[in-house]
Amino acid sequence: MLYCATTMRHGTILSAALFFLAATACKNRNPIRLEQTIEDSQPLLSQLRFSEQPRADQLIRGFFELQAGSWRWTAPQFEVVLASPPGARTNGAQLVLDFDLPDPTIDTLKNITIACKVNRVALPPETFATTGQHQYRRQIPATAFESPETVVDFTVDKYLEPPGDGRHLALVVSGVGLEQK
Amino acid sequence: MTRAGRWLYWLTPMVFCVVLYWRGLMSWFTEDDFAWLNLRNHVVDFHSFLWAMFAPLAQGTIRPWSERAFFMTFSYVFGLHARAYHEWVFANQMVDIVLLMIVTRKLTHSAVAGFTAPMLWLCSIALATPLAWASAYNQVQCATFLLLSLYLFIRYTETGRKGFYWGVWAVFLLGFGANEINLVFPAVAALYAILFARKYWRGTIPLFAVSAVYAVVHQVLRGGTSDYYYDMDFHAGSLANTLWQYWKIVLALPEFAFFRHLPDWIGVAGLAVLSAALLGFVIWQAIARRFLPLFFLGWFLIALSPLLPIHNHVTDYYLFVPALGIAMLAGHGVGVAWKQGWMRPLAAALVLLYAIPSAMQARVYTHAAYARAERTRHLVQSVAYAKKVHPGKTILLDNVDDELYWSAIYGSPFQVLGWHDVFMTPDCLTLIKPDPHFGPIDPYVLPAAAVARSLQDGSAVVYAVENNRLRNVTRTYRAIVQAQPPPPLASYIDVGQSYFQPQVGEGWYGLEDGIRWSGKHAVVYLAGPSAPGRKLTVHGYGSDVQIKQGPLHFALTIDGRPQPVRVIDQANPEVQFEYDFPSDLVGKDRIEIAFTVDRTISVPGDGRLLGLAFGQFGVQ
Repeated sequence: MLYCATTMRHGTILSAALFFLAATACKNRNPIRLEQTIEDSQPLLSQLRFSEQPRADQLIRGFFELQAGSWRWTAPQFEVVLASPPGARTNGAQLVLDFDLPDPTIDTLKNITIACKVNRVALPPETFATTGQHQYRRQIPATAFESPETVVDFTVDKYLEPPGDGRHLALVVSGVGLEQK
Repeated sequence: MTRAGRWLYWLTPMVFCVVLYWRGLMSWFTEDDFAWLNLRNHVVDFHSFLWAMFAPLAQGTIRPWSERAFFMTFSYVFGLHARAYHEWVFANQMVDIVLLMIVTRKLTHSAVAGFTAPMLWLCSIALATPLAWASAYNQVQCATFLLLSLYLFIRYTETGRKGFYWGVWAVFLLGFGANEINLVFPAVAALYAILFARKYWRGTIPLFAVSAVYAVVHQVLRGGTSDYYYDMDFHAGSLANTLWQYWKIVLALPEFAFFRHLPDWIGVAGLAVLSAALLGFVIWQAIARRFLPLFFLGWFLIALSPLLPIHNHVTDYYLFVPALGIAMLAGHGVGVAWKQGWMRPLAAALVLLYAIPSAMQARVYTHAAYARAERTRHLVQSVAYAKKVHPGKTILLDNVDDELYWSAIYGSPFQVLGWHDVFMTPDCLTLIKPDPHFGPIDPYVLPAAAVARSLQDGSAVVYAVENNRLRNVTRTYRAIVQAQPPPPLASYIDVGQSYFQPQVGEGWYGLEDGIRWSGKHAVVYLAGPSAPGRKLTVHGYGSDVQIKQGPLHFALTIDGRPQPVRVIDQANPEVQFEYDFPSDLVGKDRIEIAFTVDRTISVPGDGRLLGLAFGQFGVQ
């Protein structure tokens, strides 16, 4: 019993010490700490070349991680927001997508077709059937440019499904942009 | 034992607890925590304080000490600084450890058992959640009351002193404020008395009476609360199945094998060996008319018994209190083996077979709980920053995934800080797996029409969740919204919010502090229901002045079709009505909801003729 009494006394002292710690743990009386957010400060770019611009804040969806510092696999649907180039509202602009079709893509899929919408304006699709570097280039009418930001939505009709990967891989993209006319 | 040895003996389990559950001590808040943290905001007077302390909440439970007082006091003193809450929980856990050691030593007369029992209890995966999640503190506190009650009862049977008996009563009664599991104590005490101090068993009868009254009152206050996860099934098969599931959890090995992708047979074999050892020890000792192991097993079964009917919600941490019985049983077994020198290796092997995988699992669970809480902390603290740099603006959260929704958003953490204008974007709906038993996700999402409107008029900012940070993506998100076809009308609107303005028709006055007054007749527009059987809900308020003049009649039409007239009077001052949607309106893009009240009021100096204050209109 003596043992227990001693123990209980120790327990009481320890509990009191821990309560004191708890009571003094937070001297800050503000109800919550603040954690800084990443605020948009950089201006949007009208051309993205992944080897030069590692930032991904303009890639909305469908882009996988940057590889070798210069390219990204995309999903069959991918979307990007770009700054409308000067004069686009009156003259229109050109859309340029630089991409690569590796051997497995053409070996497996034979060909792929890329379609695109710029701010809801559909552009003519194009089919590619050879490996190597390609460019999808289209004229965009001035009516497509309603605001300083332009959303470009790409769709690819076929894609690879590497076993055990889980991703749907469509294109190897190295850059996308809007060029002034 | 030397003085240093004694310190080591008593402090080792406490240090082990802190080391094993360190991440729990560092955890932030998640899930239900926010509901409890928000409780204090409902207290405006003594009556509301009594409600907050004692009204049945959260599946009808009433836990004034371990939930209501705990959260209200700590949130008052410490706000959302979680460390203090967890330090308190750990301090209480230290008390539990000491009580467990004292009770085990007293019952077994073995220092080895007194040391082993808490060490094994601490290895249990049942401890991970209560030591990492403040909402489960009730388990820690409940264990204190039960262990202390038992200790006092044992002392009463040893000494016959009435003081201990009254001490039992005091602790037992207070224990109901921690957790309703406290009602099992009379059964524990009665079992102890029958096995070891038979003449005292009658003293437990009044305790049973209190538990019975508590059970009845609790059930009555709880009312007709129906919840899938807390549904009760009293069939023998269901009870046995639930018991079996808890037995597998408490011995940890099947879960460990599953989690580590080990062959199933390892978990099964380990479970069989540990079960045989524990039950064999109980039987062996009982045959020799030594019933202490039976008492410990009885603790486990008695403490678990109220949970066995809850067959849809078998949860690790519900074993927090029952696992004390298994820990004392195993501790006693080790103590007995220790005295029989040749059995020591066997006892050591069994202890390791249980303790290592179980402790590893407990650590994994604690880390997982910590990680979830960290994601929640980053989100809430980042939103707090966003509210500071964008005062008055609605915050829209994009890229909220399933885990973050259930850990953070679902608990409404922003309401704790008085923010009712933080929503998810509609795009998040594709990332979240809904659970029909937890209600719809829609109230946490700002409809696409309102998003478009609020981005257009600059009243909202959008943040995307990127790992553990928030990135302001307003500009990008606005561009995407503008590039899409005009969104459909929302099927749920709050006329007190500016971003629903396009769906507010004729007959309304301007915005006033989150509400909008109607005139005698007013109109709103909604998207039609997406499926048959949905109801239109209308929520608003009548003013006291108006209702005191007599009943007010509220006549509503849905797309021109009159609905039953409802009455607003002093008995029912709140406008909270439901109407069936005509089935042919399913899928319609736009329907007109119009209403008329038969009387208006006007306030001196204000020329307006006021009908009712609203409020929400929505499809449910």
